Amino acid sequence: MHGSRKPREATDALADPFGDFDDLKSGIVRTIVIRRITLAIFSAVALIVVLVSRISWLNPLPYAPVAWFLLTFPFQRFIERQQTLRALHLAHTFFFIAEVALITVLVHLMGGSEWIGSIFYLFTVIYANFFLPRTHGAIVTGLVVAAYAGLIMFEYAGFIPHRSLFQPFEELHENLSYNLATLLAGPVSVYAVVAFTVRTFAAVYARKNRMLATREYQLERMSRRLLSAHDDERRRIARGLHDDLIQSLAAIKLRLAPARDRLGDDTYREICSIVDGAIAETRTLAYSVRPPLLDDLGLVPSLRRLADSVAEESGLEIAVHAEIDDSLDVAVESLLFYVSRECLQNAVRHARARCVEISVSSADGFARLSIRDNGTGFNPHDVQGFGLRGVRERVGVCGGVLSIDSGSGRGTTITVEVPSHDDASTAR
Amino acid sequence: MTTRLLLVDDHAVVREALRQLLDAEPDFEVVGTADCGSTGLALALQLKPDLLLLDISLPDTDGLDLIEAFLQQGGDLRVVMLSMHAEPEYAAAAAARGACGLISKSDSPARFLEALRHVAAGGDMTVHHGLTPRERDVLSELARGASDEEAARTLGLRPKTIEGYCQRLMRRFDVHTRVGLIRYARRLGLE
Repeated sequence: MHGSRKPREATDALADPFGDFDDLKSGIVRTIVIRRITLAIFSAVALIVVLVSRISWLNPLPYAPVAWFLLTFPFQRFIERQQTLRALHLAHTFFFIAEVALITVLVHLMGGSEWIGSIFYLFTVIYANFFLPRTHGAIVTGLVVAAYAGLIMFEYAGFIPHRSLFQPFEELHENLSYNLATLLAGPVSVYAVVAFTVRTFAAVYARKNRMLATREYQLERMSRRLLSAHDDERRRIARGLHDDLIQSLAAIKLRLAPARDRLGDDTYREICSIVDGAIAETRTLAYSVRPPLLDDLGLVPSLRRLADSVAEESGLEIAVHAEIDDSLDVAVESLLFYVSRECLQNAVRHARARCVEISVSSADGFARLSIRDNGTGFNPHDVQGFGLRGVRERVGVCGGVLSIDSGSGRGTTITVEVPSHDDASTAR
Repeated sequence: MTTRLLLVDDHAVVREALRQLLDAEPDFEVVGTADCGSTGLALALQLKPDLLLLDISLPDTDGLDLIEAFLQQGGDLRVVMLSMHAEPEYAAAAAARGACGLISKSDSPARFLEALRHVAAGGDMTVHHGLTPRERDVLSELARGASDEEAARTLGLRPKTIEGYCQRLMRRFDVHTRVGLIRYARRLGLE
């Protein structure tokens, strides 16, 4: 969860089936867009019906879906403007209440309970119970049930006039048992049950999400532990090579010196050069496993040494700038060294660069590394082959962020920002 | 006059090899050996050696951190660091903490003794990485940006000799170009 840094309030977990505020908001916006498309189709159909069946132009049928369609635009913007979870849920609830009112008016105008359009409540109930917290969802569902049931009973009692578009239903409307049956089948059973069902689904979804989040957290912790074990292991091997193997080789050379006369000059030189070769090979091996300089003298001398040896091999011009204020964790130093090595390799192999600039700094609990080359550049979205994916993953495990600024012909700048102490990343 | 040496190194084989090498020389006398920093300190206090050979990586403390502790014991103790590392940064770090220099254990015994004698004779304090004074002069001339001819003129040598020094130093420091050698010299602080 390195993307969103929006504030998140503590709420009923069920109310937040999406793990992330931005995800929730975009989910809501998607449902509004789907409504808009549906309403555009409704509007077209309604206009055709009016034209074909010669229904009066004063009839509300064609206007309601058009008005509703237009209303989705300001509502979408209203939803998008919300910055906190609480405000987002309130705005969404407000949207549903407006929708319920609109549907109720439409159902009344189009023939009361007999009109099939009462099914529109369905979407409101489903969406409200999926996206809203329990209480907000219950309010919207209650409102749907009350509005629909109230409409049926008020029309039956004559408090509001009954309008019917279709003649055969006229008599049914005056029949109490028909109205009661509709009331039970419609608002009470269908909508209340739908609300309950969707809420159950949402709960399952939220539980799965929480489980996934826990697992992701565990994986992240395990990766970090593995990484540090891997580092320890390499340090141990490099130390072994340096402190034991090379020392023994050096001892051989020292012990040979007094025997020089007995061996003869040529043999002595030959043996010495074999031992020297073994020392050089072991040293190269130890360095590639883990540079001892990193543990003994820290990041900056190691980076300078790295820069020199890469410059020596490749002919690149490499500058190292360092401004380290606070001490860095061993794990962070390892990470930044590893990133620099990978990036330098890329610059040599792929970028055809002439100069590379490595800057490392740390302040306010964050370490920052940037590596800039003047090479050919590449499309940052297509970095599979450049070994950068592994780098990005490793940076992520340490709680850092890697960004790439590159483009054809304008070189590449790779920046890494990471908490300078490991516990800072654990406490996230 | 013999130089009295104290040898602190945790690697027993190396310690023994060094002791034999030094004892075979008439002008050196190894008065004590230790395998860790704390024993080393105690011995230094007791034996008052002239010269301390101190390994850079010890089991109990970082050798670099020990330099000051040894120097605080007073006397004219001079400290030379021993290291397996080829990186000049170690020499610079040792010099910054007050050591007279750093000698690589993988150097040839002849060079090793030469460097030690130089320090024992009270040679200048900026011996780096077992360089002889001549090698150091050549390197610092080149690090300052002098050409072979200019360096030869300043040092009163023939350009051919300068070239010979460079070849040998490049082999020793494991660098393959002149530019690499100069960069290395600058990392040593020779400029």
